[in-house]
Amino acid sequence: MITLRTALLLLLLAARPLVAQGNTGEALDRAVRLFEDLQVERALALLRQVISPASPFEVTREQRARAFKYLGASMAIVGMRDSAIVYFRAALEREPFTDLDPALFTEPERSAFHEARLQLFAIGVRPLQRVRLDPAAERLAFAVVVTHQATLEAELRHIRTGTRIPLHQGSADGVRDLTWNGLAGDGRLAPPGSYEVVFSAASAHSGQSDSARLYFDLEHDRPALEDTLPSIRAEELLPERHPQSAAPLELVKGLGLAASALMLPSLVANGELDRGERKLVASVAAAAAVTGIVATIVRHNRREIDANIAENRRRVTEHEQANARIRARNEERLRATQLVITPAAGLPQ
Amino acid sequence: MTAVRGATPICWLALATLALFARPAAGQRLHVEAIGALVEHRVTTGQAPERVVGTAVGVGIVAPLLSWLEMRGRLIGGGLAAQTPATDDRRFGEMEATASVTPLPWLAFDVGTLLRSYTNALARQRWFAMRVGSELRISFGDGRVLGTLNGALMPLVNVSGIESPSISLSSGAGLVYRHGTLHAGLVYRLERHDFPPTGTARRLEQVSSIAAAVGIAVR
Repeated sequence: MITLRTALLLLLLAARPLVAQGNTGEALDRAVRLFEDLQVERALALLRQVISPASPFEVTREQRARAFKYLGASMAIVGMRDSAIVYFRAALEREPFTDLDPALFTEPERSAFHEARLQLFAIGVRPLQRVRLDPAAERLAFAVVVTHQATLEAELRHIRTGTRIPLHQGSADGVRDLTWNGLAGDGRLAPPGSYEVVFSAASAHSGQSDSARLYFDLEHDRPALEDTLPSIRAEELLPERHPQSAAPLELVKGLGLAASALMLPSLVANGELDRGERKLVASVAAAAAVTGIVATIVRHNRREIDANIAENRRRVTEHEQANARIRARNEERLRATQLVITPAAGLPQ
Repeated sequence: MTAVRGATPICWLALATLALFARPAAGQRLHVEAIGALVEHRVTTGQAPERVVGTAVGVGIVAPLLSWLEMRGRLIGGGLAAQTPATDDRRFGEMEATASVTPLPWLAFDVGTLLRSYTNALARQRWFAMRVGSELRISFGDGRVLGTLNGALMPLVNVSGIESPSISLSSGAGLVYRHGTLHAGLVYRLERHDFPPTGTARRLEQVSSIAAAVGIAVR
């Protein structure tokens, strides 16, 4: 029984923050409804409870910013402009994206809010969501806000290599979407890894500066690339020149064939029919001898082996074409690469 | 022997079919050639040798079927004039088919059949022979010229009207020049046929020829 009680107690304790957030949210919603019903005093009381340090409920940064926003608006309605500005500033400090919808808020409220924005300088950036990006067709958008007119610079930095990719340099006022096409400064896809995006802004009115940072991990999602063929080795090519001994060898072959031809009648013919007559074979023997001599001269003057040269060219061309095809396939795969961007908490350890 | 002779047309038909449908190996092409030959025929039966000489013309075909297999066919004919007394002129015709296997670029083994006839005013003598031999191939100048030296046994020879020879040999030497699709060749050939002795006499025959051929690659 004691164990069961302990478990129930632990469950209640664990559930508490959710309940608390729910109570804060409900209180805020109720205060907003009262504000919209022009029951400003009651709304103020509820909003003060929400932001009070004595509040028993947990209040998130966004809830606190929303409470300050409606406190500011309420103060503006009751004519307390300075207090309204203070509350609006508090809202902007916590959430620079805070804004007043002209359809819901009156001119005095918006005027006070505008003044608060002028007095305070802050930059904010919306957190990223995990996204898959086709760099050929899509862009990654960073939503940035500055509370008033400012110069804004933004750049990405590859945390491991330190490579920087400029993203924006110019003026800004209010909310702005900065887009990135996924490419590094050299026009290639940004390498995978962890990135830090730094947004720096300097107020055009006060000279104040502020910055904000985002972290994300970038992965390439594409099929594996093929390796190109290694260079052709010398032993894979045929010799393109005859050795010097080739020329005399042609002569030996020619004379050898001539001599062999002349010997045929003696070797094969029957002596009773043929007494070694060589009239007919002499023409072949002479042709063989002349061929040997001519081949010797030709070989001596020209040692290139045309067939081997052509074959080597064919092999080299085939090799280059194979590599070109591999490169083309790899290019195709690279073009199809998608970037997977995952928000990260901060600098990796 | 009748069975062997009956098989000859089949061999020729097979050769013609192969030549017709052959798909030569890469870089090899079917060649046809015109042949002109000077032929000498010598015969003795124990007396003074008879000698006839003449020219013959014909056609040939060389069909590489595979990188290592080649078929050749030849058909020639002509007239031989007597060069010795008491010798008749005769007409001469020859048809030959050979298959060559080339295990090495410089060596070929071949088998072939030969049909030959000698005809004069009185009679016709027919020869049928099968030959088995080898050929040494000598390449000159990057293969543009090919020299050949061959020898063969003729283990099966049948001659109409007389007993078959007991020894039949052939040998030859030649050169073939190639240039593009054209080729030209010069081939010497010598055949020896020794017949079994009949009493004191022994019949001996010899056919030698020098043939020139000019051909072209047709596909």
